[in-house]
Amino acid sequence: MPSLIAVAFILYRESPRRLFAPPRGGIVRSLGCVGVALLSFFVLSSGLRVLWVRLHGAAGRPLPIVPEGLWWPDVALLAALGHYLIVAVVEEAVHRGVLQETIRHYLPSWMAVLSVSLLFGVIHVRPLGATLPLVAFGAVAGVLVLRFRSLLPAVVLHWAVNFLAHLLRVSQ
Amino acid sequence: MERLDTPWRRFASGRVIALVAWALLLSTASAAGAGELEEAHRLVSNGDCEGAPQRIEALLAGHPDPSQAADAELLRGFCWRVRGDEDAYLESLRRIPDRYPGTEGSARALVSLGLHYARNKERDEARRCFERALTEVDPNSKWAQVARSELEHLDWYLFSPLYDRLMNRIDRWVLAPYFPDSLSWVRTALDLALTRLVVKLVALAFCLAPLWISQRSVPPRPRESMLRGPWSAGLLTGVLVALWSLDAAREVVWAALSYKGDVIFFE
Repeated sequence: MPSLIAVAFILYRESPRRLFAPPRGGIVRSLGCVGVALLSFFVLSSGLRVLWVRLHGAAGRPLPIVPEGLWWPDVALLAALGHYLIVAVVEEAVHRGVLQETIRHYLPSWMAVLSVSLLFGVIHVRPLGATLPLVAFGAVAGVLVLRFRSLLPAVVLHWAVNFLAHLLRVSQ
Repeated sequence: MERLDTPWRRFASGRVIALVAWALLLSTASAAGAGELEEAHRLVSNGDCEGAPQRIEALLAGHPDPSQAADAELLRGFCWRVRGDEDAYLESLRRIPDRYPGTEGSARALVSLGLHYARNKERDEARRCFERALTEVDPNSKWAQVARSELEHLDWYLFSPLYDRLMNRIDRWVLAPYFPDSLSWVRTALDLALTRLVVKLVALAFCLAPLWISQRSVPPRPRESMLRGPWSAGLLTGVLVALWSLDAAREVVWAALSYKGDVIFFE
């Protein structure tokens, strides 16, 4: 609820059409970049290690990658999809939409991306091993927003990363 | 009755009667043991860590089933810990997996022990405990999940002591502290929410300080932007502080509403 109030305030002050404009350079190209970023993030973060543990099993017991007994449309899974979409919109609007764009008016773009991604990593208050991938994610999302002049690719990437992490967590 | 006349039949019927009697005795003892354990839990929940061990001794003297005995020993260890006898507590944790293998209490003891080693930077010992906990119980059980998660996170705390201390403080809440009543549960949730809020505010101060200085000293550069105009550092701070404070309040209220009265007694 607090997040929704914050995003409502942002949308009241700013133009949603500008923030969520179609990506400059085309939807296909932006989705391609999101796909590459998602794959790289999954490979570079602990995702690959988690997958390895799942396939070989912890203490000799392999675990499913997709939750057992999953069926579509699974209500809990659909609820998670919706929840992560809202989270992605709110976090991207606050961090990349308002903070990064404001800082860019006074400081170089790289500095805006770096400081906002550091903030994004730290405010999740996780152990350092989890904070570094979050900072990296923030930087990639920041670059996507700079390149395509729209929050949409960053929202899609954010939503996909969160949902994949949720799937892996649920299947534990 | 004619059929029982042969010695073998008589022997067999005697064994059946003895087995039934033994089973009845065991189930009665088990029910009595459950009552004792419940009473001990109630005493611990009321902060009586002096009286509870006596109940537990009485329970253990009655040879309860391994699962109950493991739970009872865990509770007794917790009482020792509350009374300041950390060594006895750790010794009981080490003993439980050998005495009652394959029980949930055994996995719980191993997880507690692993967390103790992880906190003291004895990562190899911690890893051994978590791995053994995984072999003790069903992989989908709660303690197997905690052990697996801890194994994945074991190498994360390698950096500054301040950071480690902060994360341990947060994990203590996330991974099951002792909540004897709803008030302590809410107090711990408030503690956690405020810790998180402070971390966020410090990070925000570091992030916005250059912006604040720049806004005081130079005019905004005309840039193609998604915004109608740059926000002031004060407005940004106000929005984010309000958002995070409301979030923290929501966490605490949610903790208060979701209290189920669980007594979880490990690190």
